[in-house]
Amino acid sequence: MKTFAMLAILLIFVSCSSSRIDRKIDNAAWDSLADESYLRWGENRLKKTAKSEYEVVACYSGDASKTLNSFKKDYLVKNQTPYYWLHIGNCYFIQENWTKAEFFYRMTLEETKVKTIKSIALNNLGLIHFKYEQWEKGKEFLNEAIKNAPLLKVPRYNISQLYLQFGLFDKAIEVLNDSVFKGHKDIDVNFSLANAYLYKGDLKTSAQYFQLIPQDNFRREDIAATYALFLMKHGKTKEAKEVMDDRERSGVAELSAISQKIEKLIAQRMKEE
Amino acid sequence: MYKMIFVFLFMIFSSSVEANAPKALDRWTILMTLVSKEMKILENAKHKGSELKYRMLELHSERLKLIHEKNNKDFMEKSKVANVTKNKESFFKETREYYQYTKEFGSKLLKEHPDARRRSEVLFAIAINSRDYGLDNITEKYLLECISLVKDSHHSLRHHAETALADFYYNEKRFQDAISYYEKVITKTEDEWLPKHYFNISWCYLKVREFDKAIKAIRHAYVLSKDRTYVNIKDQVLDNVGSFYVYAGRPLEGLEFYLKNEKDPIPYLMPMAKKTSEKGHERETEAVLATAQKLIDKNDWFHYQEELFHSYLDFYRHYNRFADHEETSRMMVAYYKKADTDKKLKLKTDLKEDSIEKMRSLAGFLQVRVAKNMKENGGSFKEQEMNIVLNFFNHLIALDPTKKVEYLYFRGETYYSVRKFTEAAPAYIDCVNEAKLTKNEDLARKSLNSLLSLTAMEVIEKELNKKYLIFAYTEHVGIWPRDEKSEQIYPKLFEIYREAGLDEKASVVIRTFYKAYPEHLKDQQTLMTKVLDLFIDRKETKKLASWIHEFKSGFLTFSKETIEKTEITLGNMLFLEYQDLAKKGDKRSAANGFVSIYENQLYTDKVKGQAAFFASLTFLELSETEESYKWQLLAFERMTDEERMSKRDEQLKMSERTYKLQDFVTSFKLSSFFLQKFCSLKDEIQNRYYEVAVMTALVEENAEGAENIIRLHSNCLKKAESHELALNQMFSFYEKTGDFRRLRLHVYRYPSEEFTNQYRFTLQKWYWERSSLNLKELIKIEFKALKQPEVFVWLKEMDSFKHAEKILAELKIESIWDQLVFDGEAYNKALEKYLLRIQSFKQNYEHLTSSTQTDLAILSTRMFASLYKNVGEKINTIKPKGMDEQTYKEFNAAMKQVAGQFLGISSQFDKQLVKALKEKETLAWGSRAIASVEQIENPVFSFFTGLTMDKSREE
Repeated sequence: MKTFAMLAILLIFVSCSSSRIDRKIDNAAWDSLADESYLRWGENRLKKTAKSEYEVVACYSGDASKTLNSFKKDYLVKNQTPYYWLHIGNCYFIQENWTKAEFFYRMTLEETKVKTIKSIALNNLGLIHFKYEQWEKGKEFLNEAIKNAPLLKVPRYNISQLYLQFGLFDKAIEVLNDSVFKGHKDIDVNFSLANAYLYKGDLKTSAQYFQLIPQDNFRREDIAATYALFLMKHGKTKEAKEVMDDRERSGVAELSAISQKIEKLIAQRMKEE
Repeated sequence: MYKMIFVFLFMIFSSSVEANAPKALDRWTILMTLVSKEMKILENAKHKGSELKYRMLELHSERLKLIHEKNNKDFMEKSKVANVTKNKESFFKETREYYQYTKEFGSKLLKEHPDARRRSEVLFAIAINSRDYGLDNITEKYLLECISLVKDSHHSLRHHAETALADFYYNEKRFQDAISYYEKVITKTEDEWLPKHYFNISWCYLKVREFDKAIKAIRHAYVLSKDRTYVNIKDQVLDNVGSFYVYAGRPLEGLEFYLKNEKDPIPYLMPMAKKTSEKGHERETEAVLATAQKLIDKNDWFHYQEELFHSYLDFYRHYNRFADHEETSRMMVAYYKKADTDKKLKLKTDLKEDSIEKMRSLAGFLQVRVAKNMKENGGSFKEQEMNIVLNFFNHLIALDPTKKVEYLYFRGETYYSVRKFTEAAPAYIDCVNEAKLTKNEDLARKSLNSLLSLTAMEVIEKELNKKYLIFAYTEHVGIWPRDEKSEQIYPKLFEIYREAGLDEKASVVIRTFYKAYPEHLKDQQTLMTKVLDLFIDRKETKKLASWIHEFKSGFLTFSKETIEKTEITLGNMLFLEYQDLAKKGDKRSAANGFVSIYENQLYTDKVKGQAAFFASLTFLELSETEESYKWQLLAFERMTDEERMSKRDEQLKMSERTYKLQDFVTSFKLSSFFLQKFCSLKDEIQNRYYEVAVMTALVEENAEGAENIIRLHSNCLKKAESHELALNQMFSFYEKTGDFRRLRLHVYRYPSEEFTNQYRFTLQKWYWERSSLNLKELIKIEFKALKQPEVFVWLKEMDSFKHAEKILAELKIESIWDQLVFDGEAYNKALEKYLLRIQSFKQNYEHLTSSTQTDLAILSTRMFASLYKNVGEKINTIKPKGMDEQTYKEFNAAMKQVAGQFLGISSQFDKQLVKALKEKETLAWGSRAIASVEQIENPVFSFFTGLTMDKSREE
């Protein structure tokens, strides 16, 4: 019995632990980056997408191994197709096999002459380097990606995340206000701006951007944590607690640590109050 | 007197014979001794009268007889072992000499005793001696003298002399003279030899063509022979009487005589038939033979049957009645067969050899005749005669199986002679087969030669002709593998088989040719090449493979190059099918096909190696990388060094393809394997293998594998760049994975300025970024060990910052004034003291804000901003105890001014820091640490909030 209990705990732990936040967006209207990334596509959207469009979609639906095998089998037929190597890399990325993902992104760079595809590979390599905490290198890849395809949104979004991470809020705001994002609604863009303004100390503007985020998304741990801090800044400790209590745990260690700090702070404030 | 002596001598002779039981030769010696002893006694007589001398003449005659006997015996014995006819006289030299001596002795007696009483006896003795032992032809003369001396016609001596003279004339073929004396002789009816004299005179009459007298005389001799008074010469009479009738032209009377006088006349009928036949009485002969046959049949006298058959054969042969002859021969075959199978019948077979000879002879004769007719009559012949000939050979085969081969050959020759080639060929074949069994090389050769000349004429239907030619060639080389003609045949026979596509047989010819004529190796190789071409044309891979094995074991001593070329051709043929399948898309079947070739024991290592290689390639095309690897290794095992070398480019591509197919583990194995195997080559390919091996190991995060490659195989490289690249990759790998222990080891193991420099910056980054205190301590220890001036500075700064943080914490909690009673002077002193401490802190740690360690500079700047803010807030909010309200107002106003200065400085620090960070886009960990809300860092983290890209609208 004890063994079962241990096993169950272990399974929960394993299933919960992740390197990245799961942030599926079911409503395509709130995904301005949908044209460039399947990463935030919700299950319903993925299901609706014809797999023939891109095989990689299956990897996002949880069939990474199977899809990789399919790529392997279709090597002779597809290895010259533009996205072949890139999508293999993405499947490995989804499997969190960083070395293989990196390898195939580099293969993409070697094999393709299409600038946008190069840009995509560079973007993804940038993320991989963030995983290795090689921020400068990662930033170089992202800048290179932007240079290769200036109209792409995701590399710009990613670089904004780097700026936010390292306190370069104005830079982040500048990037996110780029013309490529104009006229689009996007949860993460809005959240990033809300975050930037919050950390910059501009609570008013931050509040405006928070208001643009659909309510359901406040359960996302990164948004919940940021919004809780926002509420704390407004002295709304109780509301902050509610937000934190209502959050969906991401399983990302770094984020969990921050959430714990916030919860501790909330507890302390409530005690003081 | 002499009679008494003779009796005496005879008694002595008899007793001595009984006493000594002498042999035949001994008898001669004894008689000679007796004659000599008596002669000696007579010679010793002082007075020798005519009587004594006559006795001596008798003794001389007796001795002469013994000498002749002896000479004749010697002659006969010599005749048995050699042809001595020409030298016959030399054997009788002694006889002739003693005859001469005896004759002279007799003549002297006649001369010395002209009136001797025994003169007529002496003359008779001389005449008889001359007849029997002399060559002087004086018999007639002395017999006539003797007769003339004996006046009494009834005197026995005269009768003897007349008989002797009649015989003499008879022998001398002076038949009329003989008749005149025999007519006298036969008047002496008391002569027991009277039948004989009648017999002789009958012959004389016959010779002078007085047939009636002859028949009468001989029939009288037959009658007298029945009288016991006379010597019986019945047999002689019976043997001849038939002929007499024949000569007389009345053979049927002769037949009647025999039938009438003899119960079993058959022994006489057959010679008579022969004679009748000879004399041209065909019908009568047939009657005689038919009578004989009837008697045999009637009386079951089967013992005569064989002889009667012969009589028939002779008869038919004589009258050229070949069909009858053949028919009789057929019956004889049946007879001999019966004799052989039914022994109880005791059928005679004494004349079997003769029968064979007769059939043989006639068959031969007819065969020649048929052939002759064929030539002379412009190609026509009597079919019947040919059939008879052929039947004879069949009979002969039955009767004389030991010579079957000969008769079979004659059958062939018979057909050939009448241009019946279609029949001749199988006959020759039968003969060859029989000749092989009986080991008769002569006839085998003759038959084969005939068959060869026959086939050369091309007169038989083409396919049949070829069949016979093949037979002739095959048997010829089979019987005489090394022979002048066979030497010419091998290539021809080979060519026939080759043209017919009979590769196996063609191969056998080469094998036999090679065995018999190893000196013609080049020719045989040329022929073999043609066979191989045949296999290739027909895609008969198994056969080709089988021959390659043969060649490899030394057959026809083909060069290594030729064998290899053949193997390559074989491989190409074998692989073509599966390569086509692969091309058509059925790669699975293709792969299985290559595997099946490999697994087939028939094929050589070269083919198997190639098959395995193709299997490996095909599995790779099926994306089955592990299976591909397995077959790659199997291929390698089977390949020669040369083949391995030739495959290197492809092997490398396969290794690359393997990792492109996401199988880095197998690609690593493959690269490592080849890297090791071809280490000594040190070429570009080796460099590439090295790179692939290191790269694939690292992709699989198999650092140990990559390290092993570097450690063990860096000596396999042509260019050092790959090694350097690998070291950089290892460094980056450890750096990325944050593996301090391995990174350190790497730097120590491969010390270089680049690594050392990068190493210290990486450690510095880790020091500020990582939260592990243990790691921080390890980094500091490592910094000390590096003994690098700049790093020493860093170390000091780190320690200093740590100390500063501690002081800062103390300063932050330190109270400027905590006395219960306010004392202005004391307060000023306390404030001064506090501010002096702040100043001291600034002096001690201000340098940290300009540290080359970006994180430290940011953190320390932030530390000062924090300190000044703390000081400003502390001064701003101070409210000393015991101070009245008014004083406090003034005091507070003054303190606010001071505090404002500190807060301003703090804010300035912050602004400057933000500005600097923004300008330089500094991504140091320190900057993240200071960017906080409520001292909580940003939940946004570029890695896990960043997005991967999959596509683009811009494509």
